[in-house]
Amino acid sequence: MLTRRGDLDIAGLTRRWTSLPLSAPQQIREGAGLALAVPCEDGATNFVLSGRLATEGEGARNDLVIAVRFLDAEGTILDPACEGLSISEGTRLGRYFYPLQILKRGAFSKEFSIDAPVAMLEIEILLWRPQTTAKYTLEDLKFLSTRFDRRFADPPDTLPEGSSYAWALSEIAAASREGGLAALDIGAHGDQAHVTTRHLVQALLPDGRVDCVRVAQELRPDFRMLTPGAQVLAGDLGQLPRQRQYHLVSLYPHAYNWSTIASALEAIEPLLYDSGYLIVGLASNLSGQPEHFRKQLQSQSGSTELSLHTVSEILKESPFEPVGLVAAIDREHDLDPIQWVIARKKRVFLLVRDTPGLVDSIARSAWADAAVAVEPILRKSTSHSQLAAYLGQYAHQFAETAKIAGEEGRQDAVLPCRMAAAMLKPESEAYSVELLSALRSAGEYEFAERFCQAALKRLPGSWSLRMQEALLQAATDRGLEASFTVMEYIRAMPRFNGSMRRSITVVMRGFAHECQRAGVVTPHPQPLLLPEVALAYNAEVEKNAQRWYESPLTKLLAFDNIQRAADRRAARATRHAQGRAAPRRRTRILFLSGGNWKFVINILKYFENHDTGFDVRTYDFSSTEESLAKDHLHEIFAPVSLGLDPYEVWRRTVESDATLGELVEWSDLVFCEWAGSHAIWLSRFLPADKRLLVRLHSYEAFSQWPFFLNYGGIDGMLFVAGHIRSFADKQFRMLEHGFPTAVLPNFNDMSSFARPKAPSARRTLGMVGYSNMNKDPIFAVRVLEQLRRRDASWRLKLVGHPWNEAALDGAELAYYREFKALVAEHKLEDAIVFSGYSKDIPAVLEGVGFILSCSWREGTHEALLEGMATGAVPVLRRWPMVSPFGAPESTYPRLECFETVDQAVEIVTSHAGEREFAEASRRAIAYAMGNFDETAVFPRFAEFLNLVADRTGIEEGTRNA
Amino acid sequence: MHDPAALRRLKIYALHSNRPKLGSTAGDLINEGRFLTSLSQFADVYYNGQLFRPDQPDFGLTAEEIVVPTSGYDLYYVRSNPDVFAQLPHPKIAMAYPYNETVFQTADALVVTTEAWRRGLTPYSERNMFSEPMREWYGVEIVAPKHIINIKQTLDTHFLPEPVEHDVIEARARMTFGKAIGFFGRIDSNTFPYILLSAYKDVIRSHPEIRFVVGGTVRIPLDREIVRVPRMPHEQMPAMLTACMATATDEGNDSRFLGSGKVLDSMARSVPVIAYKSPTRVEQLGDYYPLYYEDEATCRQRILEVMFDEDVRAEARRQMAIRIEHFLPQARAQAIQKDFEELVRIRSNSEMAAETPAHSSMKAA
Repeated sequence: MLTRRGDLDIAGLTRRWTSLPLSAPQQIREGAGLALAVPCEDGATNFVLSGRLATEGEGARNDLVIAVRFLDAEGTILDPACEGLSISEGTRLGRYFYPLQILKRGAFSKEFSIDAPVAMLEIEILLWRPQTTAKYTLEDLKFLSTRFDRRFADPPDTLPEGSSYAWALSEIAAASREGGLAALDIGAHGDQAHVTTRHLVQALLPDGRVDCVRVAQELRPDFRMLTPGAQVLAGDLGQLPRQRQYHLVSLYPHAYNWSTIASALEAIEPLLYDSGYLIVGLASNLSGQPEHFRKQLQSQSGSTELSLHTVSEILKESPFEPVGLVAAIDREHDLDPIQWVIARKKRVFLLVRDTPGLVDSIARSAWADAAVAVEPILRKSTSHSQLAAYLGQYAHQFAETAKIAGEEGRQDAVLPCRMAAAMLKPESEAYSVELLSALRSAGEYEFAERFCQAALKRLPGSWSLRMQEALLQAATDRGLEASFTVMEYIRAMPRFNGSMRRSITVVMRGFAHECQRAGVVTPHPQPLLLPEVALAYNAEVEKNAQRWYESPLTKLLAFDNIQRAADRRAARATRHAQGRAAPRRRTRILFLSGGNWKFVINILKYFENHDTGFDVRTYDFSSTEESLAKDHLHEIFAPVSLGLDPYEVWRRTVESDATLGELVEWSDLVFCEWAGSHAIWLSRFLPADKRLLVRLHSYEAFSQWPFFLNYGGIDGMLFVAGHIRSFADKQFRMLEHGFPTAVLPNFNDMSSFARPKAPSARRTLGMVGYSNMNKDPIFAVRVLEQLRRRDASWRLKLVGHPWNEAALDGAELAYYREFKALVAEHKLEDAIVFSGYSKDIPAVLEGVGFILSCSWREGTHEALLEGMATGAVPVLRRWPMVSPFGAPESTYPRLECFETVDQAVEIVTSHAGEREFAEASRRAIAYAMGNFDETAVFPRFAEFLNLVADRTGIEEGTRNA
Repeated sequence: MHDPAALRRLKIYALHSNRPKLGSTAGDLINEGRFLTSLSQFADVYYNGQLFRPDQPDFGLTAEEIVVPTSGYDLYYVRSNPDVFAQLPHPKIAMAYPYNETVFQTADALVVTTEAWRRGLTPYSERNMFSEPMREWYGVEIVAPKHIINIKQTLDTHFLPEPVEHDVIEARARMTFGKAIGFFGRIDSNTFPYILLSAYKDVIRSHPEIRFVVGGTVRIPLDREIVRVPRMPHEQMPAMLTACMATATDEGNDSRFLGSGKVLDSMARSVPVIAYKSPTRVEQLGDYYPLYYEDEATCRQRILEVMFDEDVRAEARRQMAIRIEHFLPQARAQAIQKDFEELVRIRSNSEMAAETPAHSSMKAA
């Protein structure tokens, strides 16, 4: 018979602090490291190692190594899965785990856990590099081991009933109420199933009841004899009487099949009292199991070994959680080794089940209702991680519903759904950002407050949500306060890891976005590209940008700039002193772009067709950038000084991409086309002895990217227009960093562009590239409409990719519809000719006499200058978004400009006469060729390349061309 | 009953799997479009009931519901859709892959794209050396086809004109501006040229300006020495190829009996192909093509020749120029027109001779 063993504290937790035997600060130096053997709480699985490190002198990464080994009670070195540590495959120390890059001055603390009971820890701290000159001192080294009593003790050698099942049963029975227990035994037709039934009968009868389900065709003939008193109810779970409930359900599946077991668990749940136990028998290892079961287990849990952790993973989405695992051999019957998993209903399952409307809503796929129902428990639950694990499977549905509801304008559904998605998948940046965006758009700050409070209270480990609270403050025009809040969080952090840096990435990107909104509520990722935002912002650029520079996080970026500049100066000075400068030869330039080569083609063509004294190679960064965006986004947006090692980042990158490493090594100068995220990465991590020239066109200046450029890593910047440089300097304070800059337009071989115009050209306006709001074709339509009031023969030719209505949204869609409505209103359908994209600009503009530039913002507007080169007369708007910075005269000095429709009409009509047109056309060609043809621009371009390539990086001062 | 079709253009029904229209985004579909282009030279091809127009975007097809015709065509050609195939009247033909017993039993003819493939199926046998590489596709035994037509592959004439310089320079920019060996398309362990990769890694020790560039859908880990370009729109492929000094071919088992669109594309652009020698590559490039390899050492030599020996490059181009004539749509049309018309004629005669068509079939040894 079973004997009571006293209550088993299944949820119990034992902690023990161990002060390591360090009476005084320990000096770590060559030949004098620390080797400690630390006894652990018996069966401990979780550990914290903490202390403080003082360093004298400049330490380097990997100077100091910590090696950790785990030993069991018999002194055998354990080598199972370990969280929080990495494994070293054996150097002079042999195989060991290593916990952290410890070379951080001050306090450190490292948590790790291992999936096996540990009796002893061996820790070695030693100097790895003998030549290291720095001195290290360790103080206050402490060790905390924790044992979660979620694992039953190993069964004694002699089990009372000779069976691990009986023993597991005894544990459960001891923890359950005495006598009168009702049990349900579900098993296949086999020896072990009979054994379990027999044990149940012996344990529970005569006071209790044992019912059986046999998933088999027929019972063994001797079943009655072997299990007297057991009631066979059914051969199928579906046939069970629903009104009965049990204190214990025993399940012995005949083989591994998790999907079958999972569905069985769903059916078992209502049969089991909420306080009851489930006991499941599974083979201890899968060596004898069919291959596909092994694969299934591997794919579900990442392991082929059945451990408590593995079972937890598999049961993650089920109503049950394992509370114990009995690993034992059934000595009595010499059957296959079996593990008995003991499980109970999850608290979160009960919480979900008992939440009014939630289960029903999920069953009906009524996700908006489910989100409303789930919101209170998400805020109140004390076991958020379990709740997130259990309901996380629905996060995607919540996110999708939010999206659809947003499109349908149902804000009441959007917010709860977004919140549910973000809370259930806190690691999903996308959901959190979407939630923030929705909250901001909806002005739902109370809701946001609630969300953040809940997150702060319930998710102490989820730093990203803390950061987002700061973002929300920024959304209410408290950006400065927000960044200080963020800074406080950062200061409170014991250490940095990848996840932390990723959180900061979210914050910094979001904060940059907030700083550029100019008070306009917009989900547009680059708000300054919107006219209404730009007009408000550009009126006081420096003042508006000040918000960014006052943030403590931004100051970390500024620190990065100084650090990087100093590192590069030192590296180059050393190289210079060592006389390792390469002999004078042709300058090698590596052109690097993030995938858009549009404006480099003409440069490359020129290099191909002329002996310029440069050797050229190219590298398309788009594949590398994909991997950065996926796995290393923090390398672009988080401050480098928060624990990124530029050398290590570069090494890792070229380890997987030899081409990048070789080409950079080959080059004297890296020409980075576009000041986008790839430019940020290069400015931070390009080897210190390489020169980096970044070309900024136009739209990047209005993005957030240049905020994150490391200007200490840049040797020169090239702008395509003076007004862009002027804006960029005000916004990003670029010119204070001491590198040379130049303004040089994109250039082209336009010698064959000039062609005789068709007779109709004097009554034809043209735009090349029109299908977006920035190009403002509505303005062109208004000009056309005015002209046609005087002369109905006027036409407008629109050249380029047409609108793709299906791909438009928000402001662009509204603009397109406005365009169509205006054309229809003035019955201009026949007066507007649409012509598809063409590379043959001279041919496509043969019938166009006037080339329009109606844009809100441009750098150079290639279409205008190419149109001029064909002989079209320029009709140039004073681009409103950039006119405060000298546009368009900075690019097109002495050209007549307009601000209103009437002024544009006046420019056109004054040159529409035959003689006037011919003269204006001739002047346009001469202007374009004299300012933008490759023969005019390339010499200055080459001069600037040489200037930057020759820059030692040691000199001071700025030279601007 | 059909009229003998010799005096008028054949009317052919075509369908690929369950696609209501044909796009040009994947290898199979590209090849299918090219084949139907050839057929269109001598027949009116109706893809899913709509006239197939080779020179129009999307071949002039719209996504219409698939309706299985019961009559009205001289010939029915369906690929990868046994259900539809079963419902079609005769004469009907199908692609010889994927294998389907019923399709093989009922098809009046099966089409293949190479001679090696045709020989491997006639008969499909352990004693037939051409059958050996097809085991993974066909298993131990198959129903013997009644008739097999080798349609070969058709070259895409859009690849023939010289791309504009701007596009070629952009393509070169994506490939480091070095001497590129290109490999574009589906990149998996069945297609990837592992021998060439080994040879390349050896060659670049002394010639780092050479780059092995791959682009397309990548399903295998790639070595760090390989330059990867993003997947390109099909219309940019002529420029990408032109920007290469040479291209590489598949080396996998399938290449021993399947045709290769990559080779035809390179031929069209006159870009030398460093080709793993197999019966199918010889079918395409001819016996006298100078850039075959069968092992790593030879491959290394071929790489160096194609990069640095203008005479070898010129000879490779000359051989390709000779062979290209076989794969132009008109040439392909002439070659298969007779086969198709014959098939229709025989079928018509047999229908006249017997009320119920008899389908004989046999198991291959």
